[in-house]
Amino acid sequence: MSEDRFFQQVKATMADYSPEVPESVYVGIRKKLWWSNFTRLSVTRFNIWYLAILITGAAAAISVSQAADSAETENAVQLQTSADASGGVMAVTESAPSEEPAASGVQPEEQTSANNTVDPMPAKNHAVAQTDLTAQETESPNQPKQASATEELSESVNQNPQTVQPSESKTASKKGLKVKTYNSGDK
Amino acid sequence: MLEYKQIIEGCIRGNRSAQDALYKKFSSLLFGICLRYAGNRMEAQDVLQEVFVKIYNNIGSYNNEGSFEGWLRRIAVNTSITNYRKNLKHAYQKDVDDLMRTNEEPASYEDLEYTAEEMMSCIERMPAGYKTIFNLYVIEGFMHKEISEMLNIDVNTSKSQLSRAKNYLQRELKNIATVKIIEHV
Repeated sequence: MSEDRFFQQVKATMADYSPEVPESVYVGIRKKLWWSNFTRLSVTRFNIWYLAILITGAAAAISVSQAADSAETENAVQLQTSADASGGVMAVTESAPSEEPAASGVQPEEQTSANNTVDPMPAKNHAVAQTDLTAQETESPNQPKQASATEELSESVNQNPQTVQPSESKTASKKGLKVKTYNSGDK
Repeated sequence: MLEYKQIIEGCIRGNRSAQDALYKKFSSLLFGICLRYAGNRMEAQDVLQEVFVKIYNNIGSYNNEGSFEGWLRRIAVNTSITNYRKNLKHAYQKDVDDLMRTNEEPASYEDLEYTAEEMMSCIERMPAGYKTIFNLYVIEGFMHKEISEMLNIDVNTSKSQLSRAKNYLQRELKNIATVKIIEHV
C-alpha cells in the first residue's frame, strides 16, 4: 500500500471528525470572554482600567483623611502637653468661658427690666407696656423710683413721637413683648 | 451562506445569541481539531476555549473572501500549535521516551476500514512531536517547508518525524485490526 493512499484514508476519516463537546467548555469560554473584555481598554465600557482608577482614588482619599486625622491628633496632644507644662494656667482660661453663661444668665432679666425702664417704646405697644408697668408698680412696691422713671419716659415719647427711630422701634417692640411675657409669667 | 453572514455580523456587534449560534455550529468540528493536536481531552478543552475567545475577539478581521470554515480551522490549528510550543519541553521528554518503540521496523499495514474514533485513539496516544507534524502534513495539507517554518525545525526533521508517525500509526492500527479479527472469530 502506497504512502499517499494511507494518508488519503486517514485524511478522509479524520477531516470531519466532530466529537461531542462537554458543557463545561461553554462556561469556560463565557468566563474567558468576559475577562478578555474586562481587561481590554475601552472608553464605553466599565473595565479593569476604570476599576484601577477607582481603587487608586479611594486609596488616595483614605490616606489623605488618615493623614489629616493624625495631624489633628498630634495638634491636640501638643496642646494638651503645652497646657500641662504651663501648670494649669491654660485650664483656668479655658474654664472661664464656661462660667460666662452662668453669669450672663442672671443678667438678661436685669437687662430687660433696665431696658424696659430706659428704652423708648413704639406707640402701639406703649399702652400695653404702660399698663403692665403700672401693674408691676402696684405689685412690687419695692421699686417705686424705677416705675416712675418709666412713666416719665413714656410720657416724653408720647409727646415727641417723631424722635423714635424705626430701628429703635423694632428693638423696642421686641423688648416690649418680652416685658409682656415676663409680666404674664408673673401672674 | 446568508446565515453565516448574519452570525458573523452579530458576533462583530458582540451579540450573544450570534456567538451562541456560532458555537453550536462549529464547536464539535473545532474540538476535533484541538483533540488531534492536544495531549489529552482536558488540554483540548482548554485550547478550544482559547480558540473561541480568539474567534469572537477577531471575527471583525475576517474579510469574507475565503471560506469562513477554513478561517475557523486555521485559528484552531494555530492555537493548537501555540499550545504545542508552550508544552514543547515536556513533549520532547515524551518523544524521547517513545523513541525506542517507534524505531522498530515498520508494521505491515492491513487495508482495513477504521472508524474516526479508532484512528483518533491511535493519534491521541502518539507522541506530541509526531502528532503535530502528522496532522499538519496529512490532514491540514501543509508542505514540509511550511511545517519547518511554523515549528522552527529543520525540513529533514519534519520528514523523519512524519515517517515515524506513519509507522507508529500503522502499527497501532494493525493492533486494532488484530483485536477486531480475534473478536470476529
